[in-house]
Amino acid sequence: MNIKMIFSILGRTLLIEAALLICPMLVGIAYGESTYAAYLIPIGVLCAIGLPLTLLHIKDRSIYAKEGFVIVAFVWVLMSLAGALPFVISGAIPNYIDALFETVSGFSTTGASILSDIEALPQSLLFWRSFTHWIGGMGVLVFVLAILPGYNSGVIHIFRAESPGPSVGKLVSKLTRTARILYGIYILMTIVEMVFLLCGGMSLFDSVTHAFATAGTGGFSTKNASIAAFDSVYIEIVIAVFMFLFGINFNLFYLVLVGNVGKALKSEEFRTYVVLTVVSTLAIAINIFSLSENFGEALRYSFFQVTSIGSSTGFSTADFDLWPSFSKSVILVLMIIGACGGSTGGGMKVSRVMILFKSVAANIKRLIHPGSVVTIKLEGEPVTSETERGVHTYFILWIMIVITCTVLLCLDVNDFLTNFTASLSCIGNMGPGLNFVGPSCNYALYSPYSKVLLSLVMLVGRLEIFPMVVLFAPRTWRRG
Amino acid sequence: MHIIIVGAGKVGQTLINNFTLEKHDIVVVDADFATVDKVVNHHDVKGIVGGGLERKVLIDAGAEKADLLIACTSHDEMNILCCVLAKKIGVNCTIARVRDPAYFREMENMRADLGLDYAFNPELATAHEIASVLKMPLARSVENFAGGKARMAELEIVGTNPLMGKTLKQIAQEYKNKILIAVVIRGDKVIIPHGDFKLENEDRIHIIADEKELILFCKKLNIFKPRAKSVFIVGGGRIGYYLAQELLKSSVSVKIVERDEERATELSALLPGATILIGDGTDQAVLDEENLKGNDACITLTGKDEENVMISLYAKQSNVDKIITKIDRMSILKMVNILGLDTVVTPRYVIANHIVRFVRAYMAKAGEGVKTLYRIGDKAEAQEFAVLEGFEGADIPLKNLELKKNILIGGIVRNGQFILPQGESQLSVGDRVIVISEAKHITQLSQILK
Repeated sequence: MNIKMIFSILGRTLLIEAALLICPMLVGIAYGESTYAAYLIPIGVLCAIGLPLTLLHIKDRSIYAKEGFVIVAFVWVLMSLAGALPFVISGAIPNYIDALFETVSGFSTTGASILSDIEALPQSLLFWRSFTHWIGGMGVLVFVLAILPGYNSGVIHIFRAESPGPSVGKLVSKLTRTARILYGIYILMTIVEMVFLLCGGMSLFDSVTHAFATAGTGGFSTKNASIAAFDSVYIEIVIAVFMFLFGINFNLFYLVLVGNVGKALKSEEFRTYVVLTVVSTLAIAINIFSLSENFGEALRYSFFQVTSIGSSTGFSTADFDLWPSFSKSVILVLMIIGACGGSTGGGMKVSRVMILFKSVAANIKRLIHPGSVVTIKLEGEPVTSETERGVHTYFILWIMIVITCTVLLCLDVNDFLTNFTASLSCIGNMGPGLNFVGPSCNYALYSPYSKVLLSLVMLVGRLEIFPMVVLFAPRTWRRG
Repeated sequence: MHIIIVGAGKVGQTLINNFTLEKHDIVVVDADFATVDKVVNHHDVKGIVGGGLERKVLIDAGAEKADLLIACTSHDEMNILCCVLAKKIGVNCTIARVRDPAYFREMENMRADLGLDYAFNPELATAHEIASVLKMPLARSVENFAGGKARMAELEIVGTNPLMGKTLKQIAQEYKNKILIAVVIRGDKVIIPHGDFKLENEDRIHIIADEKELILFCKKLNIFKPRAKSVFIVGGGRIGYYLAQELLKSSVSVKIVERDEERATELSALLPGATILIGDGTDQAVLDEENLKGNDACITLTGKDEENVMISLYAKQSNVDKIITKIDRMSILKMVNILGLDTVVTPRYVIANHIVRFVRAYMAKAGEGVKTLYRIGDKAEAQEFAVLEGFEGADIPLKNLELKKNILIGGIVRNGQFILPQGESQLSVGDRVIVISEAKHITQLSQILK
């Protein structure tokens, strides 16, 4: 274990967080708030820890898969611990555990909140809340890779550990350039959405924060009623379309940028994602038709909610907790599947679910024809047995975590559906669940210990389980 | 530059290593998933799993816009076809590994038709390298510049060598030979020395001079060994064949021990001048019976590094004058160094030098490119350039020439004559100049100036 190298990268990331904290401070100053101390103190703390770490003299710069996992897990935990400070210092969320939950929910792009009156927060904190979504969406370490060159071989392990999807590849031969392209696409799309929202009559502040929350597929709104507060079909459609787009594998956008639209449209995962969205939208629209004035309205609510849950964002325009059971169950399924690999979205990822199904089909075929050789293919490429094994392990761990979390939450709140959907929602980075954690409610009802547990589960979900498991596995820290 | 490397075997990985250090964009294509995975984990390159003969795979690798494609899979035919296909798709320049002697002979005729820009043969290149060391056995390695008019020989300072403990200035005053000590290897370090640099035990020095001066100098030091007249080769693979062929041309007597009867018969037909023996080179009885001791040089070229090392150690003990050991695995090179073997050759390292030279020459403008490239460890390089019309440093005394840090003019060849560079010497148009640099990846001569 190359501890020194881990610390060095950690130090650099903390300094970056300090730099990022300047943004909400400037927003605060612009709005004439007296909240700057709430940012200056964390910035000071981050610099005090980060600077000495970056000055470490490192002889051996090589890192391997193990270090990659540990770095990613550490960075996310520390970033969240520090990112919660502004909420506490400004007095907006006096309890540190609450603030931590809110920050983890931000960075992990979950969008689950413990606040009942969001609009009471100072503007700068509202900005910081949405900004954490944007930072967490693409990943901090990808950002570090994009702007800080000079790392050696092995850095790919960090990239892999932080980026979602069953197998992560590079767009171009240099990792730094790959990271830059990804961030370039991310920034560009965020700006485009912002402009669209501005055109719809949203204020600059609201368009920026909502663009951030959509880009990271987070779901924090600056309004208590979420997107429903704007009551505008145009805004709903813009946000729904962008939620859908941010749930697509970013490699496809790169293909489109370099002019290979045909190949992008042929992507198996993308097609499945489209089919899932269309079928779910229609099914729910038909199901809630009786509750709505006309089919158009049913379609409007259904499309927004499906893209919101399908991309793991979690914005809402309607309280789907009041919908019929069938619609709720469809939403639950979408919650589990989530967005595409390589997107900013959460959930188990469409490609992973596809591999699971294909793997099951192959094994059934092997049962019927013993000795038959079956190759599983995704996107026309054979899926290696290593990837397949990885997906199986992921699935098992996922189930175990959801069950454990649900059981532990039941000690706290006496409602099974609430606890189960809260666990699902947190590991999938959605935000809302059903019943007491439905779209119109929040997570304030949980005790501090449950909030810490859920925070952990959100991070586990965002980092796709393995980094956190490796961090806590005793084997990782054994010498030799 | 955008470079595609097809085949991530031994040579492929060495090239990847070199080119990533030189900051090129590299895409690696290999049919084996595990190999690609390993390469991508260790180097900042893009990896694609697939065959080099599939259009789709090559296009994925960016062949439409690539500058260079190097095909180095284990199959000659595949390499050649891959280059043909790549050229059709749009790769600017293609390089193929061709090892089969029959193909390689035809290569000069077919190259233009196939659109192949360069064909390389690691075994042939290695045989060349061994042959040039055999002409000057006192050196651990020898590199020729300007068609052999200037040589760089590597010597190890051991035992009673009179150079030990002397500074370069003292050596120049004492011996008055026209030689230049260009590079010193001490442990892991590679140093371009100054006048006050003092030589120590076990230093390995690189001397540049013409052949005559070099021999005179070594005679004065009492370390001279005449060129090898009889050579004992263990292992009759491709390198052995090429080497024997070259040695026989300069009427050296050659004995080859080969284990496989079929191959031995084949060799005896191909090399009528050589003595071919069927036997196990690791069998001491065979070596003694065939009088290994009586030969000037022993060269171990079997397919197993361990066997080569064992036989070489035995030959050393039997006081054979010159021993050359082939080692394939880079990973054991450091361990082998501890054993104090004389000359060690690594085919893929030899060929990487050739290809890197070719690529740098390709990057430079026509004619300005590197003529010869020799790398000393990973850290220093000796390169030969032609001084062309328009070179800014021409006709200026060297002492007034402002060179970049850690760059040394190691020699000048004018009208076929070697000139030892001194403060008053000048570079003139038409000269060949040897530049020593610390891994600066220089592609043209003008880059040595500040």
